[in-house]
Amino acid sequence: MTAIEDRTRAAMDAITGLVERLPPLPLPPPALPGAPARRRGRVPSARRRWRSWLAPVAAAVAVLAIAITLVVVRDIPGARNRRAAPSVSLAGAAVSIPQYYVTFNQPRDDTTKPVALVLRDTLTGKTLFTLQPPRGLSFAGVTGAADDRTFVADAHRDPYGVQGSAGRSRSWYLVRVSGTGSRIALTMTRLPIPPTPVGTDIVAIALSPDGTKLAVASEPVSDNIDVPQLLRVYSVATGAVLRSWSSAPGLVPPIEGGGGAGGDDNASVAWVGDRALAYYGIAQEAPRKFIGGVWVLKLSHPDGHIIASSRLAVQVPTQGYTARPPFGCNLLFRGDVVVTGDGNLFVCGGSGASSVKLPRLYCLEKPAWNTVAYAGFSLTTGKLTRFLSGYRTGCSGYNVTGYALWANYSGSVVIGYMLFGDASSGRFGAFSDGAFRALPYPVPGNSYQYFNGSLLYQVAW
Amino acid sequence: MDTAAGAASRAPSVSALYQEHAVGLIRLAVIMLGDRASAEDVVQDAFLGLYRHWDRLADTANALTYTRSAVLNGCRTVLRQRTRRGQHEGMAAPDAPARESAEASVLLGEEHRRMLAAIRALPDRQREALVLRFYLDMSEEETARAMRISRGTVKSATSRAIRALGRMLGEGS
Repeated sequence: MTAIEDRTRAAMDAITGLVERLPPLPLPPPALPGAPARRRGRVPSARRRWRSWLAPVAAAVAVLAIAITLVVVRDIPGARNRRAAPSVSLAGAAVSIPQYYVTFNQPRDDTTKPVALVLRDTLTGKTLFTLQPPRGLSFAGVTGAADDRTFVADAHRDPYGVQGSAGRSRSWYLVRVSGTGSRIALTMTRLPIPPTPVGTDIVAIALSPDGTKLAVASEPVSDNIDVPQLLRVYSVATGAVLRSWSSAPGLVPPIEGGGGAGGDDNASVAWVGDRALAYYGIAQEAPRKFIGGVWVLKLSHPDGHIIASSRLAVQVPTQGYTARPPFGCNLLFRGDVVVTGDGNLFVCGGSGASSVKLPRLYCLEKPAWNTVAYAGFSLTTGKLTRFLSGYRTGCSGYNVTGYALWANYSGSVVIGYMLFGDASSGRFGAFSDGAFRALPYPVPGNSYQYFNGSLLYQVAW
Repeated sequence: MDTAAGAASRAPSVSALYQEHAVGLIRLAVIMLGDRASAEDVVQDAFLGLYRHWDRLADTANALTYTRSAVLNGCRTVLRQRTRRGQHEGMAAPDAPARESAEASVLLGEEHRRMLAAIRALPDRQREALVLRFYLDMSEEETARAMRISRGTVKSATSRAIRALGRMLGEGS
């Protein structure tokens, strides 16, 4: 082999360090095998007879359910407060993180039994309670309010497993943490929110911080990429549709979401306070020209088109490589949005590149090439307002990317994870002002992936 | 016919292939084009093409080969467009290396940047042969199949590329 060949190989290999991250691949969401391409025709006559007989009974049950739910929801303790959270020590300072999270009890690709919900202790990872789904159902999604005790989950019928849930009708449940210590438990109440029609994919779900409103983005299962999306806000107490926006068929669906790939995505739509929604969306400027960014949709805006009713709040930069400007956000396979509790900032994780070949100078700078940061972009101005926290990865190793999962009220504490090099290793925990506190991985088995069925889809804080 | 069942089977397959191989293919395209944004576009287009034509693949085990060929085709198209645009607009030499970010400058170092610039200045076929042989470590036969040229042409294109690089860098091969 000649010297030129050696140098050619070395130069090509050097490119490896520059390309670590994948842009999203805009495939249509996976379709349900055997799902109807269009809505089925009339139901059999016998079933219609049963339906007519059952209608008054069902109405009475619904009224009763609403009454019960109203009582339960009205009685959410501290639902309007910020989280009552435990403190952990980070670099000598006490910071608060959520005490609990709710997730599924099995990996996303396990279809052998119904998926249950588990309540876990954030600090220890210990399972505190397991909530089985209603008979014949399997949980597919869960989203949390700000009080750390109120959640909404949805469930579907067979086959089990969150991965096979695309296109199946969802029913909705209020899930609450009750009791403390050894008596802590999850309780479940069926919500009057109407089940989604068969053949509908859940794009994203998000419970408002006060626990009173549920945002559900959905779209029909289809082979087409350009399907119309529906974004609805329901009253948790009554099931009434408070707002309903949609996208026009034939255009790229505005909300990026999990599309049922790994449990119902609870990260692609986030609440901005209790009065607006944020989502990572795509607007199409020209046939092959798209703008990706975080859009804000106020609840005060009347029903209409999703994008037209929204404001592009942050045009997310994704081209940068380092934690210093130009800053590149590391979005997951699908766009996910973390908003600080005060509704001011969109939080994203950046990346840092460290290499043994770098001069030592770069390892000593601050912010340095080997510092990975979580950044906050103002939802008002769209500007990178500040770096919320950073993490020095050391001066040797690989490119590192950071992902945000949860941020506290001001953004001073972020729960997230860092992936190193080939994504085979990572660190999960709380980051604050350059300090890091490791936390147990919140999802079981091989579900800990940063793409396609991501962690975010499966954990509700 | 494009069925829901077909889409259900191919979407996870294409996504899995994308997750496994897209980064490598983007790197390949970056070497070919010198421009990450164009490289990502080319690779995304290739996978979308794979998705659309999945049901028509004679053997889905060859999906990666198909996609790699599509990426190479995409790179050729981009390079042709650049050449036309450069000629039409009287811009700088179309094969001039794309502008690199400050990060790339630091991470790559002067030696690698010079080398990559020289590789990008090679004629398309020589550059392709070089990338397939030395970056993907493909054999001459595999390279010939991927480029749809004869094994002899692969050999000559590679050796010419090495000689040209030596000249450009002011060194013998």
